[in-house]
Amino acid sequence: MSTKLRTYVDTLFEEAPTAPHVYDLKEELLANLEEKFEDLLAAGYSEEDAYASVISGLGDAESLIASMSVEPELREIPYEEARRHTAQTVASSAFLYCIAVAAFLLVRLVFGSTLGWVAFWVIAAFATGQVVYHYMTRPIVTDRPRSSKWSKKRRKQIKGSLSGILWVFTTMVYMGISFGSHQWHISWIIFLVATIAQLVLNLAFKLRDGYDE
Amino acid sequence: MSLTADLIRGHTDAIILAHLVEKDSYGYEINKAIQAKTSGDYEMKEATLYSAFRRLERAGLITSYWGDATIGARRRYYAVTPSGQRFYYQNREEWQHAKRIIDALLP
Repeated sequence: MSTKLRTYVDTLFEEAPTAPHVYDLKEELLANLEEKFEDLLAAGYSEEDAYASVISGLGDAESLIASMSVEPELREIPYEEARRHTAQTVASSAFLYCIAVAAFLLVRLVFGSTLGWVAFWVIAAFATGQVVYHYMTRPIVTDRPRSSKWSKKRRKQIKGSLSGILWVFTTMVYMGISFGSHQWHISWIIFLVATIAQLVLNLAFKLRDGYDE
Repeated sequence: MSLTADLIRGHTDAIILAHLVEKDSYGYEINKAIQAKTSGDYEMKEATLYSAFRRLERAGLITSYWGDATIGARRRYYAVTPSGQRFYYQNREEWQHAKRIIDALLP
């Protein structure tokens, strides 16, 4: 009979976003309803009457749950905004890498190659840190909370992140190797390798999507 | 009847705080206490109670913590904060004042 209560509460929360504070409310509500149900049974109610009484005591649970989705403590931002933010971060990092190269050339000319390298790596490190920080602090994107559509979207995000990291990393390694060894005629090969890596990545994600349908 | 409900609804937060000022408690226990104190005349709807908890917590008037899991689901306990206590005593004073006025006007 308490499974019936759990089922009822599950149905109530079906449309609610999947976030920790919503799950907490569900747990809390269920614990309290179960205790009330047990008390009513102990007071001599039949299971049906106890269940009906518990449900009727709930009140307007729909609006309570609806109000949970606007809880300010959760960092929720729409998908489009998240994408724009990612694009900005990646673009500004790419810009910084270019600046790093320019700084290297300029500083080497004036102060010698050691300081040139220092300038290059400081700027490159900042650009990399920025990208890493962005992906690590990325908020939950809650346009579509559940269903396979949701996990598909999530995978698409992960794929995008991996691609971004791959190309940023490739550019860095290319610059590093080329400036270090001056083997410009051959070091571009790394882009070929990265392209193959990207194709493999695409294929892997495509296969995953295929399985889910 | 609906006037009574409106009157009480205006004091939902203070009613909950009145119980928490005595001791930390959880949803169902508070509701049971409300029923007992009013001899069954009044019972808060769960939805009202839990929205009030969220509201009070956001306002910093109460805090919450999870109690030890007994058999079944976990209980979430609430405790009143100093500003919650101040809010409660202030609200109670205002109610006493309003009660004197209404008593005088509707003898």
